[in-house]
Amino acid sequence: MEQLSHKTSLRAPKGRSNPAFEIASSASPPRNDSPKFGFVLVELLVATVLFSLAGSGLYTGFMQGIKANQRIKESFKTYDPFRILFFHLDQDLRNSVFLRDYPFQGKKEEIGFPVFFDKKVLLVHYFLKNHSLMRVEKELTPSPFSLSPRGGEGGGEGKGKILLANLQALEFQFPYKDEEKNLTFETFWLDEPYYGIPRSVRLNIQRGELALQKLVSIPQGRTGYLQKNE
Amino acid sequence: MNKRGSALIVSLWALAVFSIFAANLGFISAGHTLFMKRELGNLEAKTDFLKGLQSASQAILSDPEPHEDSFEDAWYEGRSDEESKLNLNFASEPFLRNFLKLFEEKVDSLKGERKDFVKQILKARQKGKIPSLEELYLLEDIEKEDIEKLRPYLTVYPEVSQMNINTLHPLILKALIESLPGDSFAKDELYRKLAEARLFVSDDLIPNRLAEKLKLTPNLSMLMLVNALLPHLTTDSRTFRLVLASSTGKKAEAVVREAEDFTGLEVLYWHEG
Repeated sequence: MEQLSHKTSLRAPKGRSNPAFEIASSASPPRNDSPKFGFVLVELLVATVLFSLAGSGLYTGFMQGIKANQRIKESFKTYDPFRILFFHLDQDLRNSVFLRDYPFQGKKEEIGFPVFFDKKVLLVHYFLKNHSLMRVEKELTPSPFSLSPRGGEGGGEGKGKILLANLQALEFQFPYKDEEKNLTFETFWLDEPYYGIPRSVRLNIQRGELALQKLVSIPQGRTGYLQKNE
Repeated sequence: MNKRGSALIVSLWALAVFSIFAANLGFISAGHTLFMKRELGNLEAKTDFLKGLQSASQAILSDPEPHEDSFEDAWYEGRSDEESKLNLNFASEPFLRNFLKLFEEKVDSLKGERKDFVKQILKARQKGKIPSLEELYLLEDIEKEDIEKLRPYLTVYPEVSQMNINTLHPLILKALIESLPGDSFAKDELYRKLAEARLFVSDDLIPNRLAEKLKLTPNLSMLMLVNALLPHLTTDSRTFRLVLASSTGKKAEAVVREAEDFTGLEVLYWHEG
């Protein structure tokens, strides 16, 4: 009673009487001394159902997200090294330049060519070593060494890194047209006659069970001409 | 009463852990998406470059007057011709020297010595045709900074020594005229009048016609100068420099030449940024 009258006095501003509270306080006798808290059963059920629905939706979405992420991770784990290799190869080949002392060299398991990138002339070399594809670059500078023919390791050692390890097979191929003007790909790029930079380079790689092929088109390149006896 | 907030605290903790986990997942996925986006961007850029090349090819090859090229042509917008530049494979020693002198006077100073630059170019030419401007980076006594400054004025691509009078840079025209034998008054007059007129057709490149068109002083010295100049000039450009931009912000620079059979463009140089 004391509590209720306290509430009444709180809700009714000073100097003003609240008839409703006066009626309530006088007409309804208290049934219990303690105040009532909590929810009725229906409220609890509705809340439980809602929470369950939201929870299961969240869980399903989250689990699907995790699974998708795992799939992406696995895919990236498999393809990432290839992606990095293709990115480098694409960028290098498409920025390759003609330099008289550094002709494009193409063999089955290696290619070497000059590249102009970031205002620097680089000599880039891709080659297979111990089942790994290596990329070595060195800046060509106006020193007497750098004017030595390609293959001569002038200008100091270059920066090298393994782009792809554990390879079963690797093959570079270069485009030629034969006497009937049919396009073929061969595993060598001729030094004599020299056709300049090839129009494209095709790379076949096998790593584990995965076999991939990448064709890099070189806008400034040329297609070689192959006679039957070559 | 003290236990009333426990459910809220547990929920908040669960939410915090869940958020960290979700953020981590999101971060990893964002990284992968970024990588794929980059690959997609590269692919898109290549397609855009190809489209740009095709559009340039169409504009250049559909020129109604292919032997009369000037900056007034429709193809000239956003493109330039290599015949407007100094060809390192054909420029004479005095021409190179004069050009570098004028460059330093009118444009910018050079870090290296002019005479060294000329000497190195002539030396490089002894080995045959210079195939690319990148070869200059391998020449001794030529500063890298100087190559960058001079690059817009130089070329190695046109197979002929002639430069297009309609597009030729005034600095190069002046250097060319000054490198010819003749008296300086005649050279000054010829340069001034050529620079003022500046739009020529192939028929104008005949000594008498040119003298008539430019109203040159009719004397022997002028006639000899015009006769010496005309073999270096043309109105036909066949090698063009294109700057291609993709929607992804990547840029490529290309030097192209009309194919011998006029069926398309042959790419001589390509550089992607």
